[in-house]
Amino acid sequence: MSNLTYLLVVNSAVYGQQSAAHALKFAQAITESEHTLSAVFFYQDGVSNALSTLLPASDEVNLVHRWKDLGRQHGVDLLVCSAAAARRGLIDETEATSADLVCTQDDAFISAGLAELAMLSLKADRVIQL
Amino acid sequence: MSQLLYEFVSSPHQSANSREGLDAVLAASAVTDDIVVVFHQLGPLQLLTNQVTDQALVRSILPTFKMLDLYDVEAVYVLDTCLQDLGLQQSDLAIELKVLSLKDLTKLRRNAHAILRF
Repeated sequence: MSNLTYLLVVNSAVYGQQSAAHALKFAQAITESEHTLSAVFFYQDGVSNALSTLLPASDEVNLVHRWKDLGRQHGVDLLVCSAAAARRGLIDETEATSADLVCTQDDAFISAGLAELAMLSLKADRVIQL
Repeated sequence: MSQLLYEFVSSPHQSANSREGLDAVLAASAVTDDIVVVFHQLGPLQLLTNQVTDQALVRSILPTFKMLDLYDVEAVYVLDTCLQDLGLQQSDLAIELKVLSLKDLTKLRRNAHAILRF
């Protein structure tokens, strides 16, 4: 079978383990192939990949920037589960305004719900969870 | 054939896996009727009755598992060997489950459109 549509579900934190970096490499490989990456859905600890406040040392990889590059260059939606995000201090502009907090979610990432995860899972030919 | 299979494999409270997996299942029930949930590995421990979660500083999600039925998620299974390995009876668990074998689980996985594991 060729030309498959992939959905990538990233449940791993932006730093501290290899999984998220692995997910990024996998996403890049899909975009370089004949297959399509429909979206990346960040859930559980994976929501930290959308932090606007990540500040690694200058000689280290900033994974948030890499995800943004991927999204911009290949038109891939970067979706973040808003409920999982809020529990971990990741707040988008709207939430920040209503709760009188500081926005910590990078604006390249889109807040989404879990029903969307189910819909995308049903639409994709392959769902990969990392 | 577009079944979503959710596998619950984590022990309760040690991680948010059970809570966030359950959230994912309940949300998916608004999108499709074809949902299967399987508890195996340490997952059946999530369903133990008489859990006291105050000391673990987490909210008890046991009542939320009971919502599966209300959301018409009826295909809920537990792997037979896991019950044995954990020394559990079905009567130890807070919700009604169907028991399945590893062979059945393999078949479910083969037929599922997508599998999400928590």
